[in-house]
Amino acid sequence: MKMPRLSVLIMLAAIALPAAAAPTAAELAAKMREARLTPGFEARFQAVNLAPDGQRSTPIKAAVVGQFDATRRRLVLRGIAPEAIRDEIRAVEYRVDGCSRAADGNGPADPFAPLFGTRLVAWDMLAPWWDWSRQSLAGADRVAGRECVLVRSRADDRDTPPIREVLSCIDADAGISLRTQLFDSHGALVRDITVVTTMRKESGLLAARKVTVAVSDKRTEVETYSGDEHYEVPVGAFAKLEGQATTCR
Amino acid sequence: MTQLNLEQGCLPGTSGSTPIFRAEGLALHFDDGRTRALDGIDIEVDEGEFVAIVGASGCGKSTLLNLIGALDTPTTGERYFRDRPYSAMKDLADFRRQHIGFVFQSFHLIPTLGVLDNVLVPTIGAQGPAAGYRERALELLERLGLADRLRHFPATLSGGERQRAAIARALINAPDLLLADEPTGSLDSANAAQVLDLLSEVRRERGLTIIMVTHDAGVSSRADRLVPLRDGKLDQSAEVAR
Amino acid sequence: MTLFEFALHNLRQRPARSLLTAMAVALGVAAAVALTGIASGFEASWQKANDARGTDLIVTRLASTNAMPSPFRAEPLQNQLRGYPKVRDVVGLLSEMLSVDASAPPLFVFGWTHDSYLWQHLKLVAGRWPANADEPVVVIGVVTAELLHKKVGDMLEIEGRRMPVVGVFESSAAIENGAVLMTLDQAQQTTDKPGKVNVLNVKLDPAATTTDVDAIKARIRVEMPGFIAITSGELVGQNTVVRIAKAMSNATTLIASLVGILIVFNTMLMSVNERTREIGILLALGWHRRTVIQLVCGEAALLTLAGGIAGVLVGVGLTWQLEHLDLLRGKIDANFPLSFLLMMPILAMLVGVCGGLYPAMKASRLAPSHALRQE
Repeated sequence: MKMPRLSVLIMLAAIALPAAAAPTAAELAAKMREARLTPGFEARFQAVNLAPDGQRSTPIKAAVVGQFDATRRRLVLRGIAPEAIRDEIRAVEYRVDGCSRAADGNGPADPFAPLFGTRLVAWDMLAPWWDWSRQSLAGADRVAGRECVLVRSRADDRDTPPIREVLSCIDADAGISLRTQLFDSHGALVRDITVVTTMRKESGLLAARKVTVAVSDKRTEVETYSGDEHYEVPVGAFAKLEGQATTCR
Repeated sequence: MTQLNLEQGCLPGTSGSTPIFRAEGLALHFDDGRTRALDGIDIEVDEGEFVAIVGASGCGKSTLLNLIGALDTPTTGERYFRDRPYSAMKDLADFRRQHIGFVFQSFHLIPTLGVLDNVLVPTIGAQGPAAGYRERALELLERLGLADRLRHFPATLSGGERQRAAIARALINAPDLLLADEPTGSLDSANAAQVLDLLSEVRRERGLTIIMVTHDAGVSSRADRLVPLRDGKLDQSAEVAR
Repeated sequence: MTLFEFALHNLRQRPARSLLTAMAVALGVAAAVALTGIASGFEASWQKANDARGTDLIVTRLASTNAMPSPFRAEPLQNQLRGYPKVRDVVGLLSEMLSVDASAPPLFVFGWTHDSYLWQHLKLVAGRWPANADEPVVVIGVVTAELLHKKVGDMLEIEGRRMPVVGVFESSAAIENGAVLMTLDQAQQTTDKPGKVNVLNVKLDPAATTTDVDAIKARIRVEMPGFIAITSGELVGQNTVVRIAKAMSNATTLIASLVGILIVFNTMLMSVNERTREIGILLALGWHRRTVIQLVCGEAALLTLAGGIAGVLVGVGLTWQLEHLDLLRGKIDANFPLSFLLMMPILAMLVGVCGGLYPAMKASRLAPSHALRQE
């Protein structure tokens, strides 16, 4: 009988369609990777360390140049002020095959080392967790009054980085993670990066203008004050990385 | 004594000309008719008469006075001022200002204004130059023995002085009808007599009609005519005394 | 005694209440005046800067939601624009907000094409101008010099580069007086934006008409997708900071008005309730109901007029103080059109009348006989 079969089909479609509408964790991860693609950008930021009692350190200023494509992401950071960090270089590269390398003015460097005496870490800025194969949805939350979807990213067992799990609260349509929590192999919270203010890129997607990076009760405030979305990365910008050993998982 | 004209069922005036005030079937009910403050009063007052409304406490004396002065609206009945019905008057405030002067038992002077300013209050917003009213106020106060109290506040005056200031205020707009509600109720006998003398003089000088509510026999004895009330009705068993 | 005198007398009987109400209104008016003056001044100052430079049109990227339009390569567009009719000159400009001293707030740093018309309106008060496009030197505005306590020969550190101050200038535009100026080449080098600008300034022939301007704008829309040509007034009007400032001042005015109405409503309602017997006396003595309304609304209007006048004075004074704060010096150039200053007390009076209207109506509807019986 055709009528009953049709009604069953309609019922099934009504149940199936809403389920199909919600993206999976893998799809959200792909969206986040895509949102970060750029042939070249330059930004200048100021970072201030905040002590638990509210004391503010002398601000540091640094410039960052980056290139993120489908297979590789790399950054070079240069200290601007104060004089102690002026022209101090840190370069870091991450490939989607899991290999990475980092260098500073003296040779190989640790991509997980804090930058310029702050709690900012170069590895975090590359967001490699979006390439991990183990992505899962973990509900929803609100950050600074904005709704976001929780995505849990777990490192593969063969991966060796100190960060084993990342919980991101993302606004996928805006292409931004409003809060990123990084955990070690024991499940302890290592860093909490929360977006305070955003700015709109020419694509319409959002980028963080001001973030706080919290490590236990200490925080660093990082604010971008200048930038160029269409930066023409000069040849040799990432020269410091050439010849450096790559660590692959 | 003048006898009531009981056959006519109302209290007439003493002359045959148009009465200054007339009421027919005047009634004021509250609580859907359960409380009858006044219940079918017919009354006439002639020009220049001094009429005292008398009766026990709560019989409706002040209610009748308020209705005459258009401070309240009756439930039924009609009021006429020189044959003009109140219900046809567009603006009762204008009517009060032009034709009625009020004197109250508790004076009702504005405590924050001096005597002169209190007397001038009824003229605020009225037509006519302010200077004219001021002159008239000063004359009245001089006449009433308050020329040296112009800037005094009511709290610094004696009872008699306050009532005289209130009388001056009542007369500032040269009314035709003076309504006085127990004007001597808050005064001692000497001041009361003084106030009554004043009212009589003013009445003679200006041809004023006075309707006064009182429960004091001494006061009512000064009236041309009494209007006795009992339980909201005319007390037809009472005698009218002069 | 007139109605006005009676109203004034009544306000004086409750001096504390009248003063507090007037002060509350004054605070609201002051906030609205200060914000509006600052927003208006900011807009005017930006406009003045462009007008002072002699720029007729500004070409920049579309949809600039940041305070400064995002940078772009100057040369291709510059050459293209120079070929348009009635275009006399096209000059690039780079603007950034950078901190140049640890003790001072961030300042505007402008990079102007050396030897361009942009420099002509400035007046040198000390030192000299950059000798050529490559000279790594700065000239500073008079307000900057005062703020940073710098003079000719001192050094400034900008984005890690130490550059000597070779001149101090004065401009008719307040924004420029609080800025640091260098050649475009030096600004591009300092901010790592080689060959880039965020604004192209177009100077037209003096004979160019509005029709010519519109034609150029239309042509740019078609031939340079992603870019827009606007007059300085339009740019300022689109500027997010200006729009936000104006929106904030409008919102403040609206909120202050609503709060003012509520405050006056409360004050006059209390006053009317306390004066029930007095109002009954007035009605019994022959006052029109409309006269009672005029009295109550008049009292409300007098209160708010006093608050409005005081608020204008406080608002202007407050803004003057803000202008002279180190943090804001050179960034605020408040503008108070006379019509606006006159309008605020009138608006305050209107607020008073609105707030006093219901209490006035309530007072006028009192039954005199009932009112006289109140204590």
